Amino acid sequence: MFRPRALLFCLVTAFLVAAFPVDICVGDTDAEALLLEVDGRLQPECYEAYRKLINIEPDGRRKEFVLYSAKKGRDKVIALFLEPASEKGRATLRLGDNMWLYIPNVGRPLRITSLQSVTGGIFSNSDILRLDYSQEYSVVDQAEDGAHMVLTLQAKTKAVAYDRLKMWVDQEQKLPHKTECYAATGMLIKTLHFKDIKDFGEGIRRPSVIETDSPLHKGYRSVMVFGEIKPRSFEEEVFTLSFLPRVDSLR
Amino acid sequence: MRLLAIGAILWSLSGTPSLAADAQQSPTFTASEFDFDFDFAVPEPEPYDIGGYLELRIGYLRLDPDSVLHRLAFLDQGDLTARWRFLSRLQLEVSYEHGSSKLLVRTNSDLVRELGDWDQRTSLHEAYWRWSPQHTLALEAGKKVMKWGKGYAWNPVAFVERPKDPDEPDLPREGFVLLVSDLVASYPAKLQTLGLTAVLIPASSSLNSDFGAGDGMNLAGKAYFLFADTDLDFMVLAGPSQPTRYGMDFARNLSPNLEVHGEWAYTPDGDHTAVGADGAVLTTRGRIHQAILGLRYLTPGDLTYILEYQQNGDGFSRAELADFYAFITEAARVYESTGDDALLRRARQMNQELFSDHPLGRRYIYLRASQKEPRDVLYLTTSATLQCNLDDRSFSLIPEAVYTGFSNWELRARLFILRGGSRTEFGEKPSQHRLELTARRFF
Repeated sequence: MFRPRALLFCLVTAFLVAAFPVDICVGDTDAEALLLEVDGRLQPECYEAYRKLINIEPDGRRKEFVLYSAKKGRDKVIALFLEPASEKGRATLRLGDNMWLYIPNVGRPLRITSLQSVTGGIFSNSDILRLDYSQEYSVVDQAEDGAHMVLTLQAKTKAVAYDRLKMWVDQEQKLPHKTECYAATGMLIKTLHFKDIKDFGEGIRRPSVIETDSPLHKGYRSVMVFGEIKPRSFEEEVFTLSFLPRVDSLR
Repeated sequence: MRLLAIGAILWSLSGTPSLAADAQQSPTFTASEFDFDFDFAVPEPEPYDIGGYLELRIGYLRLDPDSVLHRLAFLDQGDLTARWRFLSRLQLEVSYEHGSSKLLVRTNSDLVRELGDWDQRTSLHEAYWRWSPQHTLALEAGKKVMKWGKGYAWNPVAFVERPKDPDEPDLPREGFVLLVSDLVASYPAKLQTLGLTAVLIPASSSLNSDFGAGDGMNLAGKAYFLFADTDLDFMVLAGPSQPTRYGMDFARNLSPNLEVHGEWAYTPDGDHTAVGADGAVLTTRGRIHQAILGLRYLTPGDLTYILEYQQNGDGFSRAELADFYAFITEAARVYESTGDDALLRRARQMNQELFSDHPLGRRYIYLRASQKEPRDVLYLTTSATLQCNLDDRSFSLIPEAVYTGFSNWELRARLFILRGGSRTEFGEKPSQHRLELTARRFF
């Protein structure tokens, strides 16, 4: 028998439960300034970029994806798949901890989780739609390792994809050399290797290649290559669900 | 074959924990192992674009000659126990962009070979012009698919679209001819985004004829809020073609691996139509509530669960479904004993008009478990989807495997298993098993 009141109660309860998540906060440390500098060198606050993702299988077979992405401020990122044809028009939006995926055939944005991989392979959504490290993590420990400063970063909230990062930062260039990503259980999920520092112009000099491997995917490797990255300002409304089908018009 | 397919899916769904266990001991790569040339040319935007896909699908159906809907469909073709179905589909999308204007046309052409007959259908799914003078505003005119709602299998608040098939939620559908205005604004506050959508839907015998019964101009509206990291929509539909309807939906991520969503639609003066055992059409008017509540959960092993519960106040009760099946049985008996097909034709017409939409029943559970890259096989996704009518306990179970490892190809294998007792929704379907193999080439 249909009970509209009971159903309404369930919907309201589900919404209230959803509206009050539990957050954890970690305090600042002296190395926060170094992390901010790393962020500033890796990506301007507002920019557009063209990237290629390459998944490499153990037998050497490769599958490639080309993305256009735009970022505004500390917590708004959008990415549009340009190639291959099977992924063309697929767009992802990130506003802080919220992520949505728009697939042209589906025709409406769906909420997704930051841990999922849109492309297959080792890069997750949060890698592709990465925010500033200092936006999501606090430095909880630091140690010197030769030419590198090793920062241990703790996620500020439970909504962040990786609970803890261990980042090797080149002390001279103030750029990351390697980052290990850990789950809350302490399990190593993946390692990012930053390579091939390139001058992209307009004051942006950063690694152009990020190679990723994961003990969860033995023999598989993923690579992210930056083809172009340049500062550009966008209106706030670009980073909304309504705009997802129109991201291509930014190019 | 059925057991083999289910076994394969269970094997793949259970694959990841061993992966995680292996991972603890496996060495990681070092940067020096990578040695590729990663240069690429930045693609230049083009004003025009042509894309789409070509699909070939082969289906084998094991029929149940004793089921009521088999008798309805194939009574004049003897005791048909199996059939093949071949489908080739061309989905073509052409767009042209100039300044703030964009023209988009999407067509769907199906060529079907079934029971010795060829059937060819081409339909214009979308053809509209969009004018977006600024990022905050978009106006669209023409034939367009509007998709509202947060549900995966069902969308009670999809007031201006044709119903979707929960077995194939992403199947392309035809739009309606509309005029749409879309306004959006962002704020640095708890209310992060506000979006307002207004839709005009003309309906007459020559335009949007299947939108509803009455002719005239219909108006639909939607207000979207991203408030405190929660998607909220409120919608309304009013006009001469359909009873006035109100709706709301929400979605929110509770954690990086858990999303919850829901929809609720309310029709204060809705008509519920059923068919009596004698074929009489019975219409009652009253309040109709339709709602879904769902979640999407991702396990550490990349296994995604989508669970949805639906309460469909406009659905048929078990007794109403049984009455309709009794009418079909009687129509078949009359045809077989006298050769008079008048009742049978009437039953077929009613089935088309009243019983072909989804969902049919009043309470459903939908559960989909989808494993990405089982056993470390990149680009392979295996899944099992269960849809159960809770009133009559009948269900469909669909094990599936999709492989996308070849660039621009998608290969899919699905097995449909339908089960249920006499006079139940899935128990009386014409086929009890269906195997489908699909190859899709994107261009």
